[in-house]
Amino acid sequence: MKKLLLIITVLMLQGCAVALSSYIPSFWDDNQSAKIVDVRLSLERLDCSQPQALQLKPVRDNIAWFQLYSESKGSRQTDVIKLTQPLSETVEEWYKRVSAEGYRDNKIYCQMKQKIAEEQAARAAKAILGRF
Amino acid sequence: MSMEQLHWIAGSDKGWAATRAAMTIAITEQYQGGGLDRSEYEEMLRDLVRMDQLDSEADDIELKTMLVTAIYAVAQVA
Repeated sequence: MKKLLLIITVLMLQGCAVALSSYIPSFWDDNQSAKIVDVRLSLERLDCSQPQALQLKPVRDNIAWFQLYSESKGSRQTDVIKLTQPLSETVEEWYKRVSAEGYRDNKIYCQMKQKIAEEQAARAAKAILGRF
Repeated sequence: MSMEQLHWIAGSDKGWAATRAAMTIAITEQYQGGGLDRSEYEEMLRDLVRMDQLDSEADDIELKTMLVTAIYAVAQVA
Protein backbone atom coordinates (compact mmCIF):
# COMPACT_ATOMS: atom_id res chain seq x y z
CA MET A 1 0.00 0.00 0.00
CA LYS A 2 2.80 2.36 0.95
CA LYS A 3 4.57 1.57 -2.32
CA LEU A 4 1.40 2.32 -4.27
CA LEU A 5 0.99 5.67 -2.50
CA LEU A 6 4.61 6.51 -3.25
CA ILE A 7 4.19 5.70 -6.94
CA ILE A 8 0.98 7.76 -7.15
CA THR A 9 2.68 10.70 -5.41
CA VAL A 10 5.65 10.56 -7.79
CA LEU A 11 3.33 10.41 -10.80
CA MET A 12 1.30 13.36 -9.53
CA LEU A 13 4.42 15.42 -8.92
CA GLN A 14 5.65 14.65 -12.43
CA GLY A 15 2.28 15.72 -13.81
CA CYS A 16 2.49 19.00 -11.91
CA ALA A 17 6.02 19.58 -13.19
CA VAL A 18 4.93 19.05 -16.80
CA ALA A 19 1.92 21.35 -16.37
CA LEU A 20 4.03 23.98 -14.64
CA SER A 21 6.80 23.85 -17.24
CA SER A 22 4.35 24.93 -19.95
CA TYR A 23 3.94 28.22 -18.05
CA ILE A 24 7.65 28.91 -17.74
CA PRO A 25 9.27 30.67 -20.71
CA SER A 26 12.87 30.31 -21.80
CA PHE A 27 15.13 32.77 -20.00
CA TRP A 28 17.55 35.49 -21.09
CA ASP A 29 20.46 34.33 -23.23
CA ASP A 30 23.28 36.66 -24.41
CA ASN A 31 23.97 34.65 -27.57
CA GLN A 32 20.34 34.49 -28.68
CA SER A 33 19.92 38.20 -28.01
CA ALA A 34 23.01 39.13 -30.03
CA LYS A 35 22.08 36.84 -32.92
CA ILE A 36 18.52 38.12 -33.34
CA VAL A 37 19.94 41.67 -33.50
CA ASP A 38 22.40 40.42 -36.15
CA VAL A 39 19.38 39.17 -38.12
CA ARG A 40 17.77 42.60 -37.87
CA LEU A 41 20.99 44.33 -38.91
CA SER A 42 21.57 42.08 -41.93
CA LEU A 43 17.98 42.73 -43.05
CA GLU A 44 18.30 46.49 -42.60
CA ARG A 45 21.58 46.55 -44.56
CA LEU A 46 20.04 44.70 -47.51
CA ASP A 47 20.23 46.87 -50.64
CA CYS A 48 17.44 46.11 -53.13
CA SER A 49 19.31 47.79 -55.98
CA GLN A 50 21.89 44.98 -55.76
CA PRO A 51 21.42 41.23 -56.48
CA GLN A 52 19.41 39.72 -53.64
CA ALA A 53 20.53 36.09 -53.33
CA LEU A 54 24.05 36.84 -52.13
CA GLN A 55 22.81 39.42 -49.63
CA LEU A 56 20.34 36.96 -48.17
CA LYS A 57 23.11 34.57 -47.16
CA PRO A 58 24.00 36.31 -43.84
CA VAL A 59 20.28 36.61 -43.00
CA ARG A 60 19.71 32.89 -43.56
CA ASP A 61 22.92 31.96 -41.73
CA ASN A 62 22.03 34.07 -38.70
CA ILE A 63 18.52 32.59 -38.47
CA ALA A 64 19.88 29.03 -38.90
CA TRP A 65 22.53 29.71 -36.24
CA PHE A 66 19.87 30.97 -33.84
CA GLN A 67 17.65 27.94 -34.37
CA LEU A 68 20.46 25.38 -34.14
CA TYR A 69 21.88 27.00 -31.03
CA SER A 70 18.45 27.07 -29.39
CA GLU A 71 17.71 23.49 -30.38
CA SER A 72 21.08 22.37 -28.97
CA LYS A 73 20.40 24.21 -25.72
CA GLY A 74 17.41 22.02 -24.92
CA SER A 75 13.68 21.60 -24.80
CA ARG A 76 13.11 24.78 -22.77
CA GLN A 77 13.94 26.76 -25.93
CA THR A 78 10.95 25.52 -27.93
CA ASP A 79 9.22 28.89 -27.54
CA VAL A 80 11.98 30.91 -29.24
CA ILE A 81 12.35 28.31 -32.00
CA LYS A 82 8.60 28.60 -32.71
CA LEU A 83 8.93 32.38 -32.53
CA THR A 84 11.59 32.56 -35.25
CA GLN A 85 9.97 29.96 -37.53
CA PRO A 86 7.71 32.42 -39.44
CA LEU A 87 10.72 34.65 -40.17
CA SER A 88 12.73 31.63 -41.28
CA GLU A 89 9.96 30.57 -43.71
CA THR A 90 9.62 34.10 -45.08
CA VAL A 91 13.36 34.34 -45.76
CA GLU A 92 13.64 30.79 -47.15
CA GLU A 93 10.85 31.41 -49.69
CA TRP A 94 12.53 34.68 -50.64
CA TYR A 95 15.91 33.02 -51.11
CA LYS A 96 14.44 30.09 -53.06
CA ARG A 97 12.76 32.47 -55.52
CA VAL A 98 15.70 34.81 -56.11
CA SER A 99 18.29 32.02 -56.36
CA ALA A 100 16.30 30.11 -59.01
CA GLU A 101 17.98 29.88 -62.38
CA GLY A 102 16.93 32.68 -64.70
CA TYR A 103 15.40 34.84 -61.98
CA ARG A 104 15.55 38.54 -62.74
CA ASP A 105 15.75 40.79 -59.67
CA ASN A 106 12.50 42.64 -58.97
CA LYS A 107 13.23 45.67 -56.82
CA ILE A 108 9.60 46.08 -55.70
CA TYR A 109 9.40 42.44 -54.61
CA CYS A 110 12.67 42.89 -52.70
CA GLN A 111 11.51 46.07 -50.96
CA MET A 112 8.21 44.49 -49.89
CA LYS A 113 9.86 41.29 -48.62
CA GLN A 114 12.46 43.33 -46.77
CA LYS A 115 9.74 45.32 -45.03
CA ILE A 116 7.86 42.17 -44.00
CA ALA A 117 11.00 40.39 -42.78
CA GLU A 118 12.15 43.49 -40.86
CA GLU A 119 8.77 43.65 -39.14
CA GLN A 120 8.93 39.96 -38.23
CA ALA A 121 12.50 40.23 -36.95
CA ALA A 122 11.68 43.32 -34.89
CA ARG A 123 8.72 41.57 -33.23
CA ALA A 124 10.78 38.45 -32.50
CA ALA A 125 13.68 40.53 -31.12
CA LYS A 126 11.35 42.45 -28.79
CA ALA A 127 10.10 39.20 -27.25
CA ILE A 128 13.58 37.61 -27.07
CA LEU A 129 15.30 40.63 -25.52
CA GLY A 130 12.40 41.22 -23.14
CA ARG A 131 12.83 37.90 -21.35
CA PHE A 132 13.70 37.68 -17.65
CA MET B 1 -12.41 42.09 -46.20
CA SER B 2 -12.70 44.98 -48.64
CA MET B 3 -10.04 47.55 -49.45
CA GLU B 4 -12.24 50.19 -47.75
CA GLN B 5 -12.05 48.25 -44.48
CA LEU B 6 -8.29 47.86 -44.85
CA HIS B 7 -7.91 51.60 -45.42
CA TRP B 8 -10.03 52.27 -42.34
CA ILE B 9 -7.86 49.98 -40.18
CA ALA B 10 -4.65 51.41 -41.65
CA GLY B 11 -5.80 54.91 -40.71
CA SER B 12 -6.80 53.92 -37.18
CA ASP B 13 -4.70 53.99 -34.02
CA LYS B 14 -4.80 50.19 -33.68
CA GLY B 15 -1.03 49.71 -33.56
CA TRP B 16 0.06 46.44 -35.15
CA ALA B 17 -3.27 46.00 -36.97
CA ALA B 18 -2.88 49.40 -38.65
CA THR B 19 0.69 48.53 -39.71
CA ARG B 20 -0.42 45.14 -41.05
CA ALA B 21 -3.35 46.67 -42.96
CA ALA B 22 -1.05 49.31 -44.49
CA MET B 23 1.32 46.54 -45.63
CA THR B 24 -1.54 44.56 -47.17
CA ILE B 25 -2.74 47.66 -49.05
CA ALA B 26 0.78 48.44 -50.33
CA ILE B 27 1.29 44.84 -51.52
CA THR B 28 -2.14 44.69 -53.19
CA GLU B 29 -1.61 48.03 -54.94
CA GLN B 30 1.75 46.86 -56.27
CA TYR B 31 0.14 43.66 -57.56
CA GLN B 32 -2.71 45.56 -59.20
CA GLY B 33 -0.23 48.00 -60.74
CA GLY B 34 1.90 45.20 -62.20
CA GLY B 35 4.86 45.62 -59.82
CA LEU B 36 4.39 42.09 -58.48
CA ASP B 37 3.31 38.94 -60.28
CA ARG B 38 0.64 36.58 -58.95
CA SER B 39 3.02 34.16 -57.20
CA GLU B 40 4.99 37.00 -55.55
CA TYR B 41 1.72 38.51 -54.34
CA GLU B 42 0.49 35.18 -52.92
CA GLU B 43 3.84 34.57 -51.22
CA MET B 44 3.57 37.89 -49.42
CA LEU B 45 0.03 37.22 -48.29
CA ARG B 46 1.34 33.96 -46.78
CA ASP B 47 4.03 36.01 -45.03
CA LEU B 48 1.36 38.24 -43.52
CA VAL B 49 -0.54 35.20 -42.23
CA ARG B 50 2.70 33.96 -40.66
CA MET B 51 3.02 37.28 -38.85
CA ASP B 52 -0.14 36.40 -36.93
CA GLN B 53 1.53 33.20 -35.72
CA LEU B 54 4.59 35.20 -34.74
CA ASP B 55 2.47 37.74 -32.81
CA SER B 56 0.78 34.92 -30.96
CA GLU B 57 4.11 33.29 -29.97
CA ALA B 58 5.62 36.65 -28.98
CA ASP B 59 2.58 37.58 -26.86
CA ASP B 60 2.82 34.19 -25.16
CA ILE B 61 6.50 34.65 -24.24
CA GLU B 62 5.90 38.22 -23.04
CA LEU B 63 2.96 37.18 -20.86
CA LYS B 64 4.89 34.28 -19.32
CA THR B 65 7.87 36.58 -18.70
CA MET B 66 5.59 39.05 -16.91
CA LEU B 67 4.25 36.19 -14.80
CA VAL B 68 7.73 34.95 -13.84
CA THR B 69 8.88 38.51 -13.07
CA ALA B 70 5.82 39.10 -10.87
CA ILE B 71 6.32 35.81 -9.00
CA TYR B 72 10.00 36.64 -8.48
CA ALA B 73 9.09 40.11 -7.17
CA VAL B 74 6.54 38.64 -4.76
CA ALA B 75 9.08 36.06 -3.58
CA GLN B 76 11.62 38.84 -2.89
CA VAL B 77 9.11 40.73 -0.75
CA ALA B 78 7.87 37.65 1.14
